[in-house]
Amino acid sequence: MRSTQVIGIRKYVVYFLFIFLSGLLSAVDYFSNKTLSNFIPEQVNLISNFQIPDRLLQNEFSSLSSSRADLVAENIRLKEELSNLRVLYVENQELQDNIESYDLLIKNISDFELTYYATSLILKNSTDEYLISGGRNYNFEPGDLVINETGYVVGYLGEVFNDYSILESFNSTNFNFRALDENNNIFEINSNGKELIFSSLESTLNSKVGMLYSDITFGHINKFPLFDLESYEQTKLNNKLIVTVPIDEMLTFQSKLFIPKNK
Amino acid sequence: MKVIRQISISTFLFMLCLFENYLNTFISFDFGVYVFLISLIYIGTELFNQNLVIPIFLTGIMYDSFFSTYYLGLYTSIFLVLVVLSNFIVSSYSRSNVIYTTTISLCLLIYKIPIILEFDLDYWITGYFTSIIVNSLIFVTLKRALRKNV
Repeated sequence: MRSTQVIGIRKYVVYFLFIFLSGLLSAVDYFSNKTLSNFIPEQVNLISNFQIPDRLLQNEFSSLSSSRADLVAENIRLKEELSNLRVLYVENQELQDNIESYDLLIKNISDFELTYYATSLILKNSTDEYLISGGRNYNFEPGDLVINETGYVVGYLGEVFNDYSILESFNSTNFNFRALDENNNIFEINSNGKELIFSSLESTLNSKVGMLYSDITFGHINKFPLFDLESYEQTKLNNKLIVTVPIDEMLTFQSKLFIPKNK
Repeated sequence: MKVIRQISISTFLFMLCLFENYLNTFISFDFGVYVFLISLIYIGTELFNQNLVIPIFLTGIMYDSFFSTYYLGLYTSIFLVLVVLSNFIVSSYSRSNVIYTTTISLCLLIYKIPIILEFDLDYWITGYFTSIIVNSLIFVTLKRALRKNV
């Protein structure tokens, strides 16, 4: 009985050793300020390597039997043309979408001294953080603002790798942001996943709070609108104004995102 | 040959992990379809083997490096703990659907621990229970499909 129990525990020994090794790696990573966890992503261009080659999209395999009878050849040529046209159609649609989103962005922003890099969603990780395209290859840095096509802030870059970055969006566990209202009152914004909690840092707020903006005083690149709090219930707690706003919009693959950078 | 086998399993597991993340980015429901978690529980309950520790470790390291903002090794240890826990539960108790569902509930709780610790209960509790039902169904179906009829 005792020996079977020992055998039962023994089979986990290797697993426990590797769990201990993982813990050790976490400790080293913690004390080395994440040098260890950034080492692999710095060596590999992960996203660029996963792109589907254009050749596959153009479906060149259909031209293998082109040496057959003229009719078959013609048929294949037409098929090829059709697939090329389809690729062009998709490209055209994407370009039209981009033009539309840029048009919308141009209408909504006031600062044309900045370069707006278009970025897109790649995937969402287990902790609801979004991986977006573009990283150090576009000189992105942690803390860079991410705005949508209407010019509103949707988050900031948490970590930046070679060709992708991790976006801390409103429903991210690590989301922490500071913004100013029109009267230069400072607000701290945190997320509980379903709601954004805006809390004022000053205790002398009397009037209702309206629009909040990012600001260069917090290291942001410029003033971009974040949220209009006017329509939400504003409560005073310990002389501080607290506003809770439900997070309605989630980012999707269709979301058009931009990262403003200095030219 | 052994090295190639370990690398192949690691790549396969990492692809599953990637697929799970893609799938959960596409679906915008309140629950998640955790294909990779299911595969880890399947390894723990059906294929438990000391030779699988390195592929699981490597998958965890790759996930921690590329997709996580937490410290290297956190998800690696979570993955390993899930395999050990699921094996321990099915070794200690009878193999029934109730036990499998309990295993999935506990494993999901550990799998989602970074979110659970950060966010309030009302953020994840509904999704958690729905995910248990959905993923248990997938697991039981997968088990039946892969069952060897001798």
